[in-house]
Amino acid sequence: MGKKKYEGLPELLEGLQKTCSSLTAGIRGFSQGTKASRDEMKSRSFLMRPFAQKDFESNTGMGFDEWVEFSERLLGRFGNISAAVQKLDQLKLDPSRVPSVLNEFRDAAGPFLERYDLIIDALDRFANYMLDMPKKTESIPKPFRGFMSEEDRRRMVEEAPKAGEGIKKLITELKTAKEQIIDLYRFL
Amino acid sequence: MSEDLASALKGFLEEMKAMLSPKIVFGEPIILEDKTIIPVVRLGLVAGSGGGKGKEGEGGFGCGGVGGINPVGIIAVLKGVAGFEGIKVMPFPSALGQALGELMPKMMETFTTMMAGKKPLEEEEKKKLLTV
Repeated sequence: MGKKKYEGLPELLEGLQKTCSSLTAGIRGFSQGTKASRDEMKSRSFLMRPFAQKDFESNTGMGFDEWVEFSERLLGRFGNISAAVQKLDQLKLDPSRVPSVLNEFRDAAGPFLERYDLIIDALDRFANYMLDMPKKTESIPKPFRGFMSEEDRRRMVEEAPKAGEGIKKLITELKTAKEQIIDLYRFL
Repeated sequence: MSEDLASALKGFLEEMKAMLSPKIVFGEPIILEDKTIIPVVRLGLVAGSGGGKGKEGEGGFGCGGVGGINPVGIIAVLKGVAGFEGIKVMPFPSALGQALGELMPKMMETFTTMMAGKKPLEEEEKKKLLTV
């Protein structure tokens, strides 16, 4: 009876576990990149720093510290989701235990689903900011260009779009995770 | 009130410590083909503090400061020129330094407006993201 009731659940769990694993790596990379940018910002010229910080916060929606905090929270959230998925997988469709662990899964995934639209909008804003960085770097007024070295400017123009693409990929994976989580809810 | 005083002073001094780093006086070196230029500024700072106690025994304490930055010149380090000959200190005439100092906040304001196209997220939205 349990096997029929939970038909398709093992495949779904496997798919979600893969998505969680990939997402965890992606979010960790995002977190490390944001921390590195925050540290680099601290080493900038005192004249450039306030502008760069204000520009970043206005365009991405949050400051560096907040983005780092957010990425760590999201990482923890997917850690919880992944743990619940793993626990479900280990039950081998035992009908006496699956419902309570499914509830644990729902509790773990709930905060992510509730904030999903906000998360996607915020990350999309961040990604677009990074993708626009080369154009923006060129538009810095001449009197201020001297306060950023040629090497820093070149690196920013090269690296920022790659980071933007990375965030877009993260968004796609979050969308997949949302679909898989909702799909799993039908077993509740 | 002594705890408030200590806390306020500590915070203020921490801010001062951060402000008075060498990078405040010397700008980031600008590396050109034949020379490296280091901008030098003068930092003006006025600080004040005060405290009081009301009839009900409630008191408060506060301190603060205002500052200004004036470009005073540049140090140029010439490439391939050994010894002191390779270092040139070029002070701005005081009028030029003063003019630049007055111009800088306006330029900064223009620059900030130009660079900041959007607004940060609302506090409520931030709160939601930070509690995911």
